[in-house]
Amino acid sequence: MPDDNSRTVLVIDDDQDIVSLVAMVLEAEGYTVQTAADGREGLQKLERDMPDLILLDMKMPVMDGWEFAREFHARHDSKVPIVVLTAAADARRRAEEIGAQGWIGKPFDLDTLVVVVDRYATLREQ
Amino acid sequence: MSNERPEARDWSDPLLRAIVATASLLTAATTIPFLLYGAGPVYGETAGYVPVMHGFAGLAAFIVAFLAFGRYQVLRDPASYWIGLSLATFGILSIFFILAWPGFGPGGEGIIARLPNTSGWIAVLELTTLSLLLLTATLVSQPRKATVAGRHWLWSVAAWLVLITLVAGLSVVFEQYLPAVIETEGGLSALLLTLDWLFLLLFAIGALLSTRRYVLTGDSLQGYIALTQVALVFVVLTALIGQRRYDLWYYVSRIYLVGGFLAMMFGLLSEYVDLYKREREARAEADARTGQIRSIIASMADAVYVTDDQGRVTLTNDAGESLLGLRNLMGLDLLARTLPGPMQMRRLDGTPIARLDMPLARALAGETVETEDILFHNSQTGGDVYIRVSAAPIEWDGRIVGVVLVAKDITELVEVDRMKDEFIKVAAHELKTPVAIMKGYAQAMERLEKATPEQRRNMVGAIDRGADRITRIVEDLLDISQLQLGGLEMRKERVILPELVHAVVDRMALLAPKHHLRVTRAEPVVLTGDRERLEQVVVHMVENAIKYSPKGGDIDVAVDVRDHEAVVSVTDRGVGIPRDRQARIFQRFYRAHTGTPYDYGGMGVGLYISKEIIARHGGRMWFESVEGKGSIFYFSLPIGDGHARR
Repeated sequence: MPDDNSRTVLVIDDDQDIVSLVAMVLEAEGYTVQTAADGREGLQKLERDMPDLILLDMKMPVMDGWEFAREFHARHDSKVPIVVLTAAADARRRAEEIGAQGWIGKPFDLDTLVVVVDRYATLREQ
Repeated sequence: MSNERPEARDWSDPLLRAIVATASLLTAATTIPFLLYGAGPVYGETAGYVPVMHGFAGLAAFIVAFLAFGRYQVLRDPASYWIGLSLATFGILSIFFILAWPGFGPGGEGIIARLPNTSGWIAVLELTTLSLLLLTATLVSQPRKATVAGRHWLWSVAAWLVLITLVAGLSVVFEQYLPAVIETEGGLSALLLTLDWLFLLLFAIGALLSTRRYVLTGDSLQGYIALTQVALVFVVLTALIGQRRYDLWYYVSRIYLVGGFLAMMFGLLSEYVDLYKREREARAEADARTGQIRSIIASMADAVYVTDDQGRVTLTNDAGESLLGLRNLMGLDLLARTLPGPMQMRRLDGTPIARLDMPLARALAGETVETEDILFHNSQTGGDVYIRVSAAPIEWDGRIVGVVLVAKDITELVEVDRMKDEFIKVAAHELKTPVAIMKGYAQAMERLEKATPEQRRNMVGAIDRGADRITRIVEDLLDISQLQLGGLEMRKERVILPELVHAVVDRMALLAPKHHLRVTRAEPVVLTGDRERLEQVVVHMVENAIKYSPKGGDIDVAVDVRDHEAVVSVTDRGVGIPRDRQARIFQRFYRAHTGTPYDYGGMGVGLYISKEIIARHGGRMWFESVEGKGSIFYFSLPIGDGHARR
């Protein structure tokens, strides 16, 4: 159950080390972090609670980022912003492709990560 | 001939010898009978044969003129022209001579006898024109730089001086006839006889000059002129000796005349034969050369197309036919105005090429296209072919008469290039994640002051793992590049296979808690190989087994021995490999699970490298797989001479 005072971020990425890193950093900033290893797990987590922000990796097994975005927009009429987390060179294009609000390229500075998460996690309220 | 390089002549030359021999022969033929029989008997009745003899001479002259003018047509040299002119004139005049001959016509006065002794005057005219025009023929021929030493020329002069002295000497010896010469038959005859001396001189000088020309320049025509003039010298001489009485000497002189013209005829005819032979040879050489070029083109591995100025094929080779997938390309319009539907040309990026931009069109406009890469969609064979084309215009006489195109199939090159680009992209992509991890955790360590020691341990561990991942990727890249260069040296060590397999399994079992990793059979076998590399292969097989059975499960590794081979197998009960992806699974950069839910990333090089390693040990690698059920991967290694048991 999310802490009422904190914002929730759902991190969907198949790389365990990345997920741990992002979780650790965001938790230190006061966020509550949920994790999923692929798109399908991500959708499952969404069923329970809607986070304030989704950090989405694109290339994952079982269900990749594109399919997740399709399913997400189909099933939920939601304003939850998605920020794409990707190593691809054309990160912006991928973000646009799936209708994401922003993108973070790998490798990233932790400062950048935090700034972006801060910006988009508060978007929902507006 | 005027086309040849000049070749000076010396005494070994047959024509030169012929000239001198003729002179000597005629001298003997004239002098000896003269000495024996004096001036000779008068044959009054034989006067009737004079026009006949003259007729022969005239006929011979016409033939020579005809040949000489023909030679002039071909070679355009002035000497031939003047010879033709002189002999033609003689021929015409000889007709008049016959017509003016007393005995023809009513009253025995000849048909055109206006003046007394008209035929006599005509004879004078004949000799005048003959001598002057032949001299001209000699003088106008362009002498080239003489390379012969002066002494050959001197010898010729000396020989002629001797002859003239001989003739003069004869006259001196027989000078009793000279006064009689001047007093015969009134002034005209005397004049005629005097003029004969002039003609003698002219012909002698002419013969001298021609011989000189011939010796210096090697122009055989001059040699034949010389020969004719030698004969003419004796024609006049015998006429002189016979005092223009129509007797034996006169006939002899006519014989010499005909002979002289025959010499010229012979010379010109032999030149014709020569010319003809040369032309035949030149044509045969040209044919041979064309044949040679054709066979060179036919045997070239690259496709060659030669077109006319409209872009239609006039010559091609086997490679050219197979490139377009057609037979019988002759006349095919390569500008694609009427090309059959299947032929479509595009740039490498797929955009169509404007007709004017096609290499062929540009070459026809005069541009030499060095290389241009074109995509050729051949719907006959159903594929895309990449072709490297170069085109150049063929010029002849200042015009563009066609184009030569050389085309090379570079499909494989393009594919390899693309794979390399792809590989670099994939590798860079793969590297980004471990770098992100290392960078992230390094920053996190700085940032998170409140991290517990355990958390710090984890972070440092993640950094280390990231470095390992990078190392793996880099090693794979190096292996690939080494393989491409033909490298990858295998060490020769003693390898106990079951031991190796156990070590790998034990190590990896720790990393895969979800899976049950075990060695089911391990027959003892020792062989020679590169331990590290073999370990690399087994590790990769096990890694794949783990990776592609996401739900965990059993992974069995076994070492068996069959027929002098050790076979290692790794069995998983995972997702298997889709049937339509199985064929290319050992191919470099090929990834069997892209687009499936089981795309776990990777560069697609692991199996390729493993197969190469096994191959270099003399073994084989293969697999069995059913989608949804799992896979078994095998490799075999030969065991030296019988297998050594522990």
